[in-house]
Amino acid sequence: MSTRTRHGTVCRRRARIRFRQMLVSACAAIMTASASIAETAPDLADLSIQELMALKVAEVSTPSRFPQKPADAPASVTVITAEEIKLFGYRTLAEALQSVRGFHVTYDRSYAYVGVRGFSRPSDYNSRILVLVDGHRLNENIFGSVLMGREFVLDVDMIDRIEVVRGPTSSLYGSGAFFGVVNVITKRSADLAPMEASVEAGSFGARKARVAFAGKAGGVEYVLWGSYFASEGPQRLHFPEFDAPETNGGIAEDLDGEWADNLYLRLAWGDWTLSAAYVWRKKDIPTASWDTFFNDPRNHAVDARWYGDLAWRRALSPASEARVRFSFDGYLYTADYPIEPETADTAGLGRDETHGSAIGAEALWTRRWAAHTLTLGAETHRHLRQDQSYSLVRPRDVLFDSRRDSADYGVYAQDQYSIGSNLLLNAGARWDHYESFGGAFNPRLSLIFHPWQSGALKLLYGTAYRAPNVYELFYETPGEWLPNPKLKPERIETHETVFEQAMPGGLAVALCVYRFHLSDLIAQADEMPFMFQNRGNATGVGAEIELEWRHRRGVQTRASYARQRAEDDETGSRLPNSPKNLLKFNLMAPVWRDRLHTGVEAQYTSLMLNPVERETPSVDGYWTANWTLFSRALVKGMDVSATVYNLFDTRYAFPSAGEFLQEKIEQDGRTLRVKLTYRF
Amino acid sequence: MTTRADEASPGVRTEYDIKAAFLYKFALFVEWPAGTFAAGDSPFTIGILGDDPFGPRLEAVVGGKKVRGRPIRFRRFAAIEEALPGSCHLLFVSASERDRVNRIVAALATSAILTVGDTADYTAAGVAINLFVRDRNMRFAINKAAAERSGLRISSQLLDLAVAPEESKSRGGAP
Repeated sequence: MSTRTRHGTVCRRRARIRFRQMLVSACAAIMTASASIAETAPDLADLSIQELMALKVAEVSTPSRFPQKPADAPASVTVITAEEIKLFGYRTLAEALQSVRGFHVTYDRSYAYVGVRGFSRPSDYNSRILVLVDGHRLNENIFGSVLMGREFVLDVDMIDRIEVVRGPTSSLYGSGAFFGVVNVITKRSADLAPMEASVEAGSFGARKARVAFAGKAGGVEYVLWGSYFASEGPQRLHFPEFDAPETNGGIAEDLDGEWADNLYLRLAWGDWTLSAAYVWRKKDIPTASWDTFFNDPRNHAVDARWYGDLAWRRALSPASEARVRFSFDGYLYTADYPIEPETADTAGLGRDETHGSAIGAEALWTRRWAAHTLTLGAETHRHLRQDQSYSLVRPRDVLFDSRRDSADYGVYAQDQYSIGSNLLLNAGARWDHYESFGGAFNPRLSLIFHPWQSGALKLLYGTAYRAPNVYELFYETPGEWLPNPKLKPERIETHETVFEQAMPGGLAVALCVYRFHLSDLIAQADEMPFMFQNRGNATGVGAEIELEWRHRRGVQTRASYARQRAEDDETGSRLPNSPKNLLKFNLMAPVWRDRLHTGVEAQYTSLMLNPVERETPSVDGYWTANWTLFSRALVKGMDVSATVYNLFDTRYAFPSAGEFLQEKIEQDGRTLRVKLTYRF
Repeated sequence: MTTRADEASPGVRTEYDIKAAFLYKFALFVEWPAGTFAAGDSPFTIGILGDDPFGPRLEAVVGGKKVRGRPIRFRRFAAIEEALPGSCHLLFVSASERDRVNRIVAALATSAILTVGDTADYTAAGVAINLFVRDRNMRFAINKAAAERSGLRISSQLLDLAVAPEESKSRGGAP
């Protein structure tokens, strides 16, 4: 996954806003859309029984591991639906998460990183957020990372919904459920046509094709799909830090290409579900990170991730249910670093190779009786391979080769107790054991009060941890970088108050205030000998407000504002890569009957500090907007959509981590995508 | 889109909005014995017994509709004694009445009142129709014998769409 394990590189430490113009244009777009709203969606009571039975009930199953109303969930939850993925033209999971209140996504032209509530360590590879696919844990066992861009294991078009649960949830999910849990739920065969084909084309030579099959054969429901993606990327990327004749005047030529293949299978038979997923992605690296040669076409990284999962689920009685899951996971990462010119004697190439694999099992039992809903569970993983190496390619010279294996297990319990008709207590805890550091105990306690109809006041407390990963524990390069097997887990403790109120007329409001404290953060030592250490503490406070308005005629608007402040306890200064203000605005509206819809989103991310070693203290805040036109069944069975990303061609950049010479990483300007999907 | 989970998406609605629509549908697909209504335009009354999980949503979804030309009225009852014959035609028995459900069913045994619930084991206890969620879809089970004891006739279309009571145990849902 990352270029960070490069031998010899010992962490070198070192916008324009067209505000008014954008606001005016966004308002104009909304007014145009609203003016042409056509009648859609009949009232519920006018639907037939069959149509009512086809509706989906709004409930979430990630916060407590059983289905419940969002208002009863012990967390502030956001759900992103398949409809939103279509209408806002999201191409990756990272893009979808960018629309979530309190989330900010950055990209360094290698990977996408998701920050939550003002915390995002540059290059943390999303190891402080737990991502599940249909409940299957996706964080791999070398870096604890989840790849959320094109390198994500699913095609976003095959997602039914994404449940985003804010707050520490280690009490149910163990390591990594630090700032939250993202559970990606895939489409079932009943949601899909027997066959669906989709093609798309976009700026920079981006093209994608997908074919999906779904149905039922001999009592087995199946979903099978595969997709292929390729993009040439911008042909000339300019990095002023490399402005010199010997580095091509700072121009990286044809070095932002990306290729990805995905394959997915799901079979459901009675109480059993078998699923398997695979992704392979190759990315050219234009930034010459980790002291590599600039504008060298050999610079690239390949990530592959796969898993198999066999799940059994049965209602033992009307009030109790048991679930068992067996899983297999794999992860492969290879990256080439051009460190010398290629000659007859040497390839001049360093290579990182990482291979992880694991098997796991989990059992979960839920029982309701009287006012209680009790959940008990146990989970274990046997990490068969946690191998890392760095070698010179030709002549071959292995400079670092670490082969590890390990095991962990955890047990947990949770009770939801209805104290009265309007008061819920949800209490749970989990104890985990790791070979490296021993035990970790994490509770979660929440009181959910419904003072009146459609209102919920939630008082939430919880802790979470992130186990040190094998990269942090065992990576070494003789004389420069030492392993540190004594690392302790990072910890977070969070207090949060949430108020949610649904109002007549389809209006809903959510308010959150929170405070979290991070301790024993794992970071690189400043001076020799270099190694990872538990050396940081930080505190975050923030408030969020979100308004949502669902109009009868199918217009849906959501607006959120997050004010957040995350500081280093020792220095009292704001953390790098942490915007103080986040504004998000989303609008979906029918334009012409049920045939033509539009999705408009606008987002503001305020100034972010660079890491302290940088000369440039910060990157500017920026607005971006995306605009999608979506036509459903223009021709029977065919959907067509067109999206303009970064509509106003805003120039913006993200702070850069230590492995970059760049002061900041510039992002793409306006880009386009058109897409055609046909259901057979 | 969000705060209220995914109900903002087309095809996704809150649980009690959907349940409210189902109460209305049940009223349309069940026949009450002759003489139940005083006049051709006497109102059709939907009652809620116990804690009201619908709130204003029941009126919002069903308000203004008619059952065979009859306007719909809504009443809330705290105890079964208030809900005896004449006071309502369809009675939603809230989950808060779980401990008293046997007594409620017995009290209504011969009344022409269609009982509806959304609590595990209500059909077995003698409630005529029980709503439940499976894989995020609303389903219902019918205790035909219980309904017929009250002299009600349930349309075959409704019976065909009902899930057998023993199947209704499985809750299902996302992982």
